[in-house]
Order: sequence, then C-alpha cells, then structure tokens
Amino acid sequence: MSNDQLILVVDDDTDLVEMVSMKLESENFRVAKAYDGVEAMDKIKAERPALIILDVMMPRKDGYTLCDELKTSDDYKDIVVVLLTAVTEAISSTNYTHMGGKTTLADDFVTKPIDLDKLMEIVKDNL
Amino acid sequence: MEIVLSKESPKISIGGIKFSEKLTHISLVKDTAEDSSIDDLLRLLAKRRINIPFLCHSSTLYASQRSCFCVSCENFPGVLSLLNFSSFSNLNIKVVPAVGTITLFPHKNSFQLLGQIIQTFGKFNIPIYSMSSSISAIALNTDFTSLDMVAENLQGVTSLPENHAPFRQEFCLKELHR
Amino acid sequence: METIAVYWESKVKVYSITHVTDLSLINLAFPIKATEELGKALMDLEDSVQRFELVTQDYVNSTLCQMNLFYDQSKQENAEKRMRKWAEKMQATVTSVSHLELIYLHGPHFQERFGIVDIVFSAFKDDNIKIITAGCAGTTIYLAVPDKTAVPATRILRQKFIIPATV
Repeated sequence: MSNDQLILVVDDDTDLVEMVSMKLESENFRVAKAYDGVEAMDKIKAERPALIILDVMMPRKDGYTLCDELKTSDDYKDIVVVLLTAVTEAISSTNYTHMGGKTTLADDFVTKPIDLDKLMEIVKDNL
Repeated sequence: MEIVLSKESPKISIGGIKFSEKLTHISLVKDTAEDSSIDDLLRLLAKRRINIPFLCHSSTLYASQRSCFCVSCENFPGVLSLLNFSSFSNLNIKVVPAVGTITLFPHKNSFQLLGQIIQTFGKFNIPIYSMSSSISAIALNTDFTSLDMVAENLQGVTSLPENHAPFRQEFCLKELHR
Repeated sequence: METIAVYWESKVKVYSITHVTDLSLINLAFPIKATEELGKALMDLEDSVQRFELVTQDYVNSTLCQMNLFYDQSKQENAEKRMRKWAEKMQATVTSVSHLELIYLHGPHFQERFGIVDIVFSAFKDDNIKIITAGCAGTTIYLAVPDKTAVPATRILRQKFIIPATV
C-alpha cells in the first residue's frame, strides 16, 4: 500500500509534532506541520492534506473551532480530521469542554498521551 | 518542513520562535561529584510544587557537578529560602533575576541552524546563560528584556512562515497537586 | 498570561521513553568572546557529522562557557579533529568521551508541571545510575548515561511513569 498522502500535524507542543511526524514519515506518509489553528488553515489552503491530526488546546484558534470551520465548509469537509483530545482524566478544570472528540464534527479522536501505534492505526483506518 | 539553506536565500526556514514568561535563572556548582545536594534540592522544589521549565545538568568534567535551571519569578523567593539551608552551603550559586527562554523550532538536528544561532548570539554580544535542545527545538536563556532584539537578529538568519504563531504564549497550564 | 487548565495526575503519563546508543560527547570549554567563531565551527560540522543528538551549554565563569555536544560515535574522528583545530585557535579546550547513551522522554506539558525531573533524578540516584548530562527543555527530558546503562535506566523509568503500552 502506498502511503504517500499528505498528513497535516497541528499542535502547539512542538516536540509532539516532531514525534508524530517522524512516526508518520517512517510509515511513508508525507507530512506538513503547523503550530496553531491559524497557521494550520494556511497550510490546509495551500497544501490540501488528506488528513489532519489536530490538537484541541492551541493559541489563536483552537482545534474545535478549526474542525467546525472545516466540516461546515464545502471546500474542506472531505478532509479527515482526527482530534487529539486533552488528557481528560488528568485535567480537572479547564476553559475547554472535553467533548471526547466524537461529539464534535471530527471523524475520529485520540486521547493524550497518545499511543503512536494506535494513532497510526486510526490514520490508516480513516484514509 | 525541511531546513533549507539555498544560495539565493541564506536564511534557514524554521517553523517558529517562542518566548517564555519572565524567569529567574539559577546556576549551581558543587565541587565534588559524590555530593547529592542537587538531587536534594530538586526533591525539595518538587515538594513545594515549584515547577522547573528549563534545566541543564552536567557532571562530566572538572570533578564537579553543574546545574542550572529556571523558575518563574514568583517562585524564586521559595527557591531562595531553600538555598539558605545549611545543607546547600557547599554550592556555588549564581542568580540572574530576569531571563527569558527563546525557543526556535524545529531544529531538525541541524548543525547549520545551531551554528547560525550561536553565531548570532556571539555577533551581537548577547549572553547565553544556558541552552538545551529538545526533540524539536533549541531553547536558549538570555536577558528577558533582550528577547525581542534577539528574535529580530535571529530573523536575519532564519525565515518564519508568513502567518506564524505569535512569539509570546497566550496561555499556560499549571499542575496544582499530584 | 492566562492559566487555562490545571492538571491532576497521581502518576505522570509520558508519550514515550526512547534511547539511542553509540554516541560521543564533545565538551568544549571556550572563552565567551569566541562564541561567534564557535557558531561558524558548528556550521562546518554539517557536512561531515551531519546531525547532533543533544546540545547543552552553560557558563563556567564570567569569561568561560561550556558546551556539551552529543552526536553519532561513527563521526567522532572527524568531529574531534575539526573541533580540536578550532579550539587550538581560540584557546578553548576539547574533551571527548565516547560510548555514551541517551535516553529521552517527553510528555504532556512537562515544562509547566512540577516535580517531573525529580522523579527521574531520584530514581537514578536510588539505582546508582550516573547522569552525565541532562537537558530539559520544552516537553522533553534528555539524559545522557554511560555505556550499557540506557536499557536498565529505561526499565526504571518505565516503573515511575505511565507509558502508552505499545510504544
């Protein structure tokens, strides 16, 4: 199977973006990176990824907002969105509602801390 | 995102730059490698729930151990009260009250980028109190008031995406208890 | 800056714990005034050494800095030769150590949470594992340890943190 589709990884944790990207590249995916929702939208317009791995808590534009924008847009609703939801058990209070991913318009979700192998399975299942 | 250095554009493409909040930088040196003061101090800081956003430690040479770390300025009095304990009197302590961490990412393990960063700090006589790489980034501690100037100078050798994330963070997380 | 969330975790979860073996360390003690020249020397390593694994730097005193540079041991001869040549010119000193191993772990918001580095240092102290260099920045903790130490050290860390099962 050829995995040369473009995956956009979006997270303000730059170390996590790097780890996920290395894993995706090792599985022969092409990878683009963005570090917040605004920058991600630019990359989506310019490079049109097949799938986006999208963090929730980010500066400027959070993952829920970006996901809703994509899924309600005729141009981008076909792009698969996998949300990286926050560590719900560990975070006791936050400004964000932890909807568990599935209650948003996202196609799938992974809870943090992520299991990279599980994330790869989810990516492949959704492409 | 690949690190690109072409003849036409000598700038290295990076994904972004981040500034930390204002921090206090503490350097500790102890003369013997056997002593456990630094481990003890880390234990006490943890007990007091004092976060260490940056640490660099080395025990290779000079038959001594050297550590430096940063804490938020509001936590510094708590650190100082611990350092006043007699058990830490063997440590040579130096404090820089107002530093900021400037972080460039991703480094892609590139000597070219590392060299450009170090060269820029040297060229403009900007102090590097400490530095460490992470998986993705190179983080350098310098004077807090110099962060904007440092970023400007570094943009002479690096190029950022057009709509890059702001240098200053909008929010942080805090761990209250464990 | 706004605090938007607070953590509560009885045992800290990490994304992964990984190690790299067969590394060399160049320790450079150099005059601060040679910083700009050091930058040029590091750029010159790009072709022959290709990549660094970890770099840390701090002050030795008001005129001297030290840099610890970890890289692939197979490139040691080349890296050392170049840096010794540079050091001679700049009145710097080079010390080289080989057969080192590097462990790195990273986890959610490590730079914003207390006590994580203490968990690592305490665990290693209890088991007499020497930390040659540690660098904690961003959400990563890097630990350079002596030869043949990374595997037992990683085993110890796996007891102290919760790690996703299949990583």
